Amino acid sequence: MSESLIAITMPKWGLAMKEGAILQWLKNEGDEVKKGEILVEIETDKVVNEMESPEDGRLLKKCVETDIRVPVGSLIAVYGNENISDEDIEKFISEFKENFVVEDDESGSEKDKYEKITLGEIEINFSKIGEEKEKNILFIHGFGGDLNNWMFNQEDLSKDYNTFAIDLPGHGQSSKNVTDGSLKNMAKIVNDFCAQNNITKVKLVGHSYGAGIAIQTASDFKDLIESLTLISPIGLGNEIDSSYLENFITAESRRDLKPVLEKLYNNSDIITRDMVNEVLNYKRIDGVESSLKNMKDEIVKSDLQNNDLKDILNLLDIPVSIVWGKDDNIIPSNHSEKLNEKILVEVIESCGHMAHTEHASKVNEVIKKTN
Amino acid sequence: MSIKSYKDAINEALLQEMKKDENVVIMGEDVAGGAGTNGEQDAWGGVLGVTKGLLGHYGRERVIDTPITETAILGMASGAALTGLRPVAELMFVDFMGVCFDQILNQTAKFRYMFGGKAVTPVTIRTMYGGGLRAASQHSQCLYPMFTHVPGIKVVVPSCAYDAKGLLIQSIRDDDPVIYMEHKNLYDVTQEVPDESYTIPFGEANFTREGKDITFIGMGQTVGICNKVADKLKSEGKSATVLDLRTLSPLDEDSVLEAAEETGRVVIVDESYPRCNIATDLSALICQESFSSLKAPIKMVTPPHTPVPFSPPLEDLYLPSEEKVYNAAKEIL
Repeated sequence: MSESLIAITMPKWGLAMKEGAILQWLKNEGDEVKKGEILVEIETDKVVNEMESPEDGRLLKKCVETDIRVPVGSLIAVYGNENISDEDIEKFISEFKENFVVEDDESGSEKDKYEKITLGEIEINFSKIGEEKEKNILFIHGFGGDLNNWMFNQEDLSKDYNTFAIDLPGHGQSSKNVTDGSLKNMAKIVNDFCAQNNITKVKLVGHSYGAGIAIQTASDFKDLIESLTLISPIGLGNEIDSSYLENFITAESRRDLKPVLEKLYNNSDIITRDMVNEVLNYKRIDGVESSLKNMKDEIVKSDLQNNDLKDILNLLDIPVSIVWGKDDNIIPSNHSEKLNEKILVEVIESCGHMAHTEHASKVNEVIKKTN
Repeated sequence: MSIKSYKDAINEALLQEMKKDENVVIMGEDVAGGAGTNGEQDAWGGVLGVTKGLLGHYGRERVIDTPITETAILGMASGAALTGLRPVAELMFVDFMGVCFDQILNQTAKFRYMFGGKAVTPVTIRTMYGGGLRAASQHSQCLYPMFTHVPGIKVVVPSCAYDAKGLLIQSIRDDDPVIYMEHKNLYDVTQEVPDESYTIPFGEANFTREGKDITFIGMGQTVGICNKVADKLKSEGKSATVLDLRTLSPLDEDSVLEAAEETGRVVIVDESYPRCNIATDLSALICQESFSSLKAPIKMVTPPHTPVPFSPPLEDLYLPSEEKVYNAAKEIL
C-alpha cells in the first residue's frame, strides 16, 4: 500500500538553509491538493515564503506542528488516496523517520558547493548544485543581488541540470573591485567563468542587469549560449526607476534601505529586518559602494536606460524567454511587448521585479521550457 | 567569510586598518611586549593576546609599548590624534580609567567643542570590561555609563565577533574620540566574519531576534544572555524581540522605541551598577516616549549596587544571568 503514499518534505531554499519551521498550513487534512497550490508557509533563518505543493494528491497527514524547526528533508506531510488505512500511514511515517539522515556539515557535501575561482584580477564566488547532468544552467543575479537570489530556483532545477550561480564582481563573496561595469566586460567575465569550469554550452538565466549581461554574452559568445531566460531585463526600453539604484547605493541605515528594497516586490511584507540587515552588511564592505556606482553608471544615464539591447535580442538565433512581473516598479513590464515573435513572453500578475523569488515555480517552468 | 573569534576579529580589524592607513598606530602596556629587554619580542600582544602579531607587520614605530602610566597613554594618544595620527590606545582594564579620567573628560572629549570645530581627535581607546573572570572589584567593572554621560565621546560595546570587527574599523575611521569596550567573556565567542574590511555605523542598534510577546534590550555581553532566553521562551511558545544597542553613545533611540512598542513588554539587561546606568536611561526614554504602548512595568536586570565580589559564588549571584532574565520575563508575560 505504501507505494501509493507520497512523502512531502521540508524544502531546501538556498545552500545555507539547514532548518525550517512551518508557520501556517493553508490546507487541511483530507483536502485534495493540486500541484502548484500553496500548501504551507515556511520560515527559515532568512525568509518567510509559501511552499507550493510539489505533487497532486490528498493531504492525509500533517507530520510537523507549526513553529517547530525541523531539518531540511524532514517529512512534513503525507499524500495519498482516501482508501489508505491509518496504520499504513503510521508505518510509512515511521519507516521514513528510520531512514532519514540529517545532512551534516562534516560530510563536506555542503561546503564543496560554494567555490571560488580567479579570473585575472578578480575572484568569483559561485555555487554549484547538480552533477553529471547533460545540460548546464548558469544564473546571473541583478544589481545589488547575489547568488542567494536563486534559492528557490537553483535547487529545484538541479534535479535536471548542472546548475551554477555566480556572484557578479562587486557582489556577494566575489571581489569588490569593479572599475568597468559595462555589459561587454561582464559578458567577458561570464565567458571566462564558463571556460575555466569547462562549460561549453549553457542555458543562461539572468535577472535585470544580469539579464542584460546574459543578452550581451549570447551576442558576443554565440557558441557558448544555448538559450536565454530573462527576468525583468534591462535594455528593452528607456524607462527605469533610476532613484532605486541611487537610493540603494546611498542608503546607510535600516530605515533608509527598507523602503528601497520594498520596491522590488509586489508583496513587500516579504522584507524582514534580517533581509535588510544582510544587504546593509554587504553594502558596508570596502569597495562595494564604488563598485556599485561604476555599475549604475553603465545601467542608467540621465535617469534613462543606457543600453539598447532590443536589436541584439531580436537577432539572436537561440530560444529566448522573458518573464516579467506585471507590477514591476523598477522596469515596466510593457518593455516585453513588440519583440520578435519567436520570443516567449510570460507576464505574471501580482508580481514585482523579483519574479524568480515571488513566483519561483512559474519561472522554473519557463526555464525548463526554453529549449 | 570564515569563522573567527571576537579576539581574532579585533586583531584583524587592527591589522587591516594599519595596512590601509599608515597614520594608524597602536599603543599601550605590553601591546607587543618585550620592549627594552633582551627577551622575546612580541611576548604578550596585549594582556590576553589581542594585539599579538601586529609588531611583526608594523614594527615598534607603530606598535608602541608604553610605561605603566594610563595618564601618559591617553595623553599621548589624544595629543597624537590632534596632530593627525589615528592612534588606538589600549587601556588594559577599564577600571584603570580613574587615573586618566581628566584626559578624557576635560581634554579629549572637549577639543572639538573648545576649538570651535577646528580640532578633530580621531583617537580610539580600546579597553576590557566586565565581570565573570574572578578578577575582583578593581578589574571587573563595566563603567560604560560614566562615558556615556559625557558629551563628546562615543561609546561602543560590541556583542559578537562580526560587530567587533565592523565597529572597530568604524571607530578608527571616525574623527571623534571613541571608547571601544571589549567584554572579557566574549573574546572566544565565534561567528562568521567577512575577510574584507567593513564598517558598522554608530547609532544603529541591531535586532538579533524578532518576536511578538516581549522585548529584551541588551548591550555587549548581555545580548548573548537575552538571545538564549529568547530561544528558551520560543520553545515554550512565546516569541521575543532582542535588541542589541551596539553603541551607547550615540544611542539609537528610534530602534529602542520601535522594539519596545512592538511588544509592550520590556526587559533591559545591563551589567553595570544599577544607579544611573543604561537600563535606567532607556527605561526613562521608553516611559517618556512610548508609555501608552506598555502593557507591563519595564523590568531591569542589573547587579545590586555593590562592588563586584571576588568570591566566585557571590560573583555568580551578582551578575545578570539567564535565569534572572528568564524570571524577570515571566513576571511580566
